[in-house]
Amino acid sequence: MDPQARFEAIFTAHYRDIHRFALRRTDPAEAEEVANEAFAICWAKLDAVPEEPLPWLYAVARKCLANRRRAAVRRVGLGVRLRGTPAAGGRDPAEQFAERDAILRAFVRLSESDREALRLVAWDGLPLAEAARVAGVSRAAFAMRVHRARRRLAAELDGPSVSPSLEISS
Amino acid sequence: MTDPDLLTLLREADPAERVDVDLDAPPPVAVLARITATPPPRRRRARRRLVIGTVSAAAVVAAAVALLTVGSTIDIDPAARAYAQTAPGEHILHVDLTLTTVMTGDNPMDQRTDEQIWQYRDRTHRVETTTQHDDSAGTPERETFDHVKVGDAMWTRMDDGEIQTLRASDSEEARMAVEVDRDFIASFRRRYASHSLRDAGETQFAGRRARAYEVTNPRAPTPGIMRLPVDSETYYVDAETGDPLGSVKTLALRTFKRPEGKSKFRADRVPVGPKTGEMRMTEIVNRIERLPLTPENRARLTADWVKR
Repeated sequence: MDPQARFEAIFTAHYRDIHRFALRRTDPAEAEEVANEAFAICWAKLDAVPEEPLPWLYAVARKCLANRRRAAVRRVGLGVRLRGTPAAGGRDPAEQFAERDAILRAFVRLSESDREALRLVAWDGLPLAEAARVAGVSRAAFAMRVHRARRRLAAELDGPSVSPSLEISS
Repeated sequence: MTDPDLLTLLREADPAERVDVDLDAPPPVAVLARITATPPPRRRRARRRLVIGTVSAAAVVAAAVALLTVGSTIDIDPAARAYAQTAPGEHILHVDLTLTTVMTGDNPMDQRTDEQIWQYRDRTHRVETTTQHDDSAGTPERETFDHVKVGDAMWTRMDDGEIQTLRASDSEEARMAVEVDRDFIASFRRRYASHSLRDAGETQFAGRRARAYEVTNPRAPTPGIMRLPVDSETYYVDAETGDPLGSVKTLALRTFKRPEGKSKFRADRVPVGPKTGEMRMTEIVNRIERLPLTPENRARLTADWVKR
């Protein structure tokens, strides 16, 4: 397929997925920038994009967010405090709705590692194997990460019982 | 509460579905056009390695432009197409345009400038011939300037044969003279890239069905760019093909008025006295084309009088 046509197809099919992915992790303004940046990288590295591009795009968007957070931390470290610049990238959007929702209240009390594991499987809807690829760890390690995150989430929710099952989706 | 219930609860609490963003809106085609306006850098590296495999960036750009202009499955904004068509690449961009400046009021003037511009990377060759009528001269005055710019240096041959050399590093004035964006292409691209254009709908321009784009704040100064602060600035793009068609800029001419309590006029201040007339500058792109990098075309990027 012609590179331009292929990129157009990927962009059309997945822009909203990547935008949603970013909206789950940062504020709307930054989410849009992250989505645009992820697709600019996709265009620049089109030959490296796998046939099923979505997990790859998620991984790219995740790196874009991480880079922005690192840059924001550096800015603060340098003492440059720009008006409206968040301390470390956009605020977790879950915090915005936590007061009205017990599950989000529990979610925002988790570590970032736990939150990310749950975001990938619950909100981004990725099967374990693909979520592990996006997170950059082995399937087994990611499965353990999700298991622990679920257990901690349950613990945050007024002592609910916890299933030991690791099965989410194959 | 069981664990599967927890995940279900969590899924239903997805913050992306709660933020005030229209997630059903179609993917932004302007972003798509902006991204694909530049060929992927990996392809450029590949071409340097494999000289014989001239699957050049120019071809990629040409393919992108072709898709943007005819075969795209997405309804691309004409301005995005124009931006893509004028993107730099492995070709020489040749623009033939006519600028007409008409001044009404106390000092009427009617001036026409025909320009030929060849551009590739940091090289620009511009030949401009100006014909001017005013109310005092019986016959029109005609002048030709030939400019060759390479990187931060610009050579200009005046009508009388004098050659002037300017380097951006010489002074701030020289830098502005060298870097000023004089033509439709440069200023349109800068306006588009800075999201300063507002779609003003369809109209007719130079006898073609056009889409008009108004600059949202034409008086705003552009850091580092020397330009006339105008009252309105509108760009026109072919409504169907995205071919750049030209622009119209207008400026109300006013008498100078000394500011209250000031003994001197400030050169950087716009006159604020009563309106005495109007200046209207119309640029019409007669032709825009991408030329292959043949020796003959490369020769158009310079002039034989240039000595370095």
